[in-house]
Amino acid sequence: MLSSDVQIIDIHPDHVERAVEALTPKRPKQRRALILFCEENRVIHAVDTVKGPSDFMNGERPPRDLKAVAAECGVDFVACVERDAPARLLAGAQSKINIDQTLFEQVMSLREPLRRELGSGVRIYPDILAAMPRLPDFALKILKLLSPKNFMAMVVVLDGKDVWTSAVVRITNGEADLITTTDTLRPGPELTGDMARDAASLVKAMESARGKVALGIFMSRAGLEHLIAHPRPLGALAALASRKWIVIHPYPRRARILLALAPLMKI
Amino acid sequence: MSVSISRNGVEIDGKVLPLISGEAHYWRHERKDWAAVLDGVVEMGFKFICTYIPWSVHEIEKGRFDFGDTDPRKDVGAFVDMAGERGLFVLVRPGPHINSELTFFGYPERILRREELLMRTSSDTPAIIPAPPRFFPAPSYASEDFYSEVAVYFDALRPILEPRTHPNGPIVGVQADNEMSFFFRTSPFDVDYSAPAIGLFRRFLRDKYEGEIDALNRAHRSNHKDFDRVMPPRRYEPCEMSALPWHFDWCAFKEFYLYYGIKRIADMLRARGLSEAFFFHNFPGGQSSSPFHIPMTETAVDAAGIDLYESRKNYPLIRDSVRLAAGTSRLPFSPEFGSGIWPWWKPLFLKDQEFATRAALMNGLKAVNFYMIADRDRWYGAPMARDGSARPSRFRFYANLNRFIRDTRFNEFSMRNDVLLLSVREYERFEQIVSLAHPVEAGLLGGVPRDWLTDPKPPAGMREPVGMLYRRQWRAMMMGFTQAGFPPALADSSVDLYVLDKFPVVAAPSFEFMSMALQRNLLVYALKGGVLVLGPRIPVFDEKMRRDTKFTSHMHEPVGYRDRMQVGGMIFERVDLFNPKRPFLSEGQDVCSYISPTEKGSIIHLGFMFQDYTGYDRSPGLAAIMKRIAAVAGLKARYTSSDPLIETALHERGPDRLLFVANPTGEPRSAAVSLGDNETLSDADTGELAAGPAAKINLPEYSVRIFNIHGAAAAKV
Repeated sequence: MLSSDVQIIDIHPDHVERAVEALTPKRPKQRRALILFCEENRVIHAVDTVKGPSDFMNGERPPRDLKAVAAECGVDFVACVERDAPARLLAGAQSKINIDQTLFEQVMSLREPLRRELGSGVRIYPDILAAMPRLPDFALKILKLLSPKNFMAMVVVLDGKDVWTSAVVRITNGEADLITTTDTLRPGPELTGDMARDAASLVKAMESARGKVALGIFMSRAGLEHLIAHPRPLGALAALASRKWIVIHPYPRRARILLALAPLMKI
Repeated sequence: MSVSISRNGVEIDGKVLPLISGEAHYWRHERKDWAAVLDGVVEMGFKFICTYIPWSVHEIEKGRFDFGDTDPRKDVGAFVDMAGERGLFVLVRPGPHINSELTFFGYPERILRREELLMRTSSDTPAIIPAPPRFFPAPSYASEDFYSEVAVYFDALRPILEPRTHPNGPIVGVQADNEMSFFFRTSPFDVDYSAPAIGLFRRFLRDKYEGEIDALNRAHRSNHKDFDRVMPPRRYEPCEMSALPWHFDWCAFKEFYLYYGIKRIADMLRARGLSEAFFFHNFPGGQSSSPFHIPMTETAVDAAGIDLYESRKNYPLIRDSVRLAAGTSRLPFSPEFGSGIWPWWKPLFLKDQEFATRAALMNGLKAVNFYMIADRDRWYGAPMARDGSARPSRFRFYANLNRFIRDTRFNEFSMRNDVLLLSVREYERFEQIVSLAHPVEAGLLGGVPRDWLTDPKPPAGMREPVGMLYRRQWRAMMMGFTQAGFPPALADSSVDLYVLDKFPVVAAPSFEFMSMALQRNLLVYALKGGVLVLGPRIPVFDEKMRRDTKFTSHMHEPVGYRDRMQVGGMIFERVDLFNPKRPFLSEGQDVCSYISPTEKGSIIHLGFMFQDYTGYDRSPGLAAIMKRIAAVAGLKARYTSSDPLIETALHERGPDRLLFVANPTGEPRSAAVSLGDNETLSDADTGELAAGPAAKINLPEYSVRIFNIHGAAAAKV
């Protein structure tokens, strides 16, 4: 999470634009939801987020089987919301948040009131918590074990002699306190088109500008596209690195172990 | 030696300058880079530069401030001087709220630790603002102790700002606080329920009812012994229609609360030697009119504008926000217009900035501060990097824009609108009162129209769910007039009568109740010769839900009702039928709309609900109805597009004409735009010519083209 005095500087807008375009699905499907507002155990209002309000189930008991409602109405999501539930949820969260907490702790404060409402005041199909991608517990433990509290990492995608997109993050005491791109190197080293040499010179320049780099990952646009499309990107990263299609420099021992374990961790 | 604002910009010592500005934050740049940033601003052609002055950055500890003594980046005085040396005028925004993506929005942390200074929610919790990198509790602008703290900071600013304010220095504009909006928590029953806020509510009621508790009791149907016992509503409970005035008074108070905060801050700054500058405020854009109140705010500051950070995919929101500001404010101004974006928000790229800027000018924006003009901590996408070096394509865009505004004297042009569509404040308040999203601001829920999320059951005694119907009727009127070739001006219904008088046609959705002041204004407008369009209902109650109407002698009682009715291929709903002398719309014997002549004008009553039009729909039937309405006023559409999804806007300055043509869709389109006899168009960017009578114009996806209109007919229009 972010440190309260995080610096987010020298973000090259072209780097962001290219990364966003690369990561955004070309034709995102328009998702439709049905929201059923309920009060005193009766549906009082139904809204299809594409078609508009309707009197679907008006006055009836809230449905138990939201999946069946989704199928009946041809929507992707169904939410059944008790009239006072949003107020209860917000009140629960706000009474627990304070400015001495880290951002992570503040976000986590939402968990308990959310858990209290989900399944009672707010029911959602499909179950959003179950639908969230979850790492196996052992994978989480490995990640935690191998993640240092203080380090700086850079990821750079090269396009010939140019940096196509990049991200540099410095973690201090477990929180990001610097986020930037290679634009912070202005004017930056002259690149040659040789990935290994360019990686070395970019790391050197970053170290003289911002401090020690613990991990650097350098790839081509084709490499990035391969990783994005791959169901297990960390495993794919390990494979590409072993074939020297991706340059990892510096390549600390923890990262070597992590990539070696990637196939086992199924991520 | 004076500074004032006019419709065309800022008048400084008798000379009117277009208010086109760029924002840079001195404390976020290395001192050595200030010159490059300011030189870049000048090179792009800006005449104004704007900056926040953050309380939390300058305050070292309570009562001790660093204005450059320790950290040279904090020398705001030197920054203002350097801007002045380059011929730039300066706008300052000293907060105390500045947001600016600063942790705690620019308030010193110690302020947020004092519970007695904070807002409370209707659930009696602190009002937490979920803004990275740290959520924080919001302060209350009803707290006197809060203003006492602010006064210490403003006192410290005085020796720096006063000697640099016009005519002694380059500061010509001052913003009083920032995005006053309960920190974007605009749901009526969310905040502020702190003790000072409830006290202010009671004071507001005492003033409104002139100290007469009986008058309040009659309005609220209550039996309070004195004003100190009145409590605010904390949620909407389905109720009798007669209980609504209590809720309406709370909404009106929340509008007053924002005005009160802005006025307090503006007065404090004026009292500290800044009174020669013009004062302004910026409301967040894209939200409902209430709790924002531009006409009331403009009694506290000279101009109240709207902030806009919109992508090219949000044309309707850009159009409607800008037109509402253009129709309501003294100076259509966006004190923050996205030039880049903060990292935890939806990305905004150059193609968004280009489209949004041109679309805003097309729809009447006359003054703008591009936020930001140089990248900085927690910001990217500006035309300059943090060190002041140009990001060439972005830099070029703003340089060309300034050149266009200067060469055409664009600030002197006015958008031609023959139709005014009103945003009716009492219906928008009601829509918020009955929102089922409470306490979440409905506008935040993923683009679902807020009227869709309202309680469909009207209060007992009210005929219809006005919260569900108002905006739907408004949208249909907006789309119909637009596609008929009469792009309407928009205005808040609280504007003065003289604003209405400028338009041959004024339209407003209307229901059973309407404030007596608005009823009076609308009737006087129609009596004086205007064509007034109302419907689906003619108001028979005032804002206190007392049976009272101004329209009795002009309107017809319904003689029948249909749930649905087909007229000329269109489906109308909730249809009243009439037996009038002058039918306007009918099917067979069934008349659902009529014209009622007044002394010199007329009232057209559309006694039905239109269907719900959202997004980019086409409806020739709807456009045909609006054309007939315009014909009653003797209006004829000009520069219409053959493609109803392509919008046009005419801007005029004497005989000079500019025509904006916009494609707000994600596909390239081409359209034939009708021109007058012997008229031709030339593209203001490329010089490309197009001739009439139907000029074929190609438009790439999400694009706005600007044309000069040439030809003898243009001068005659």
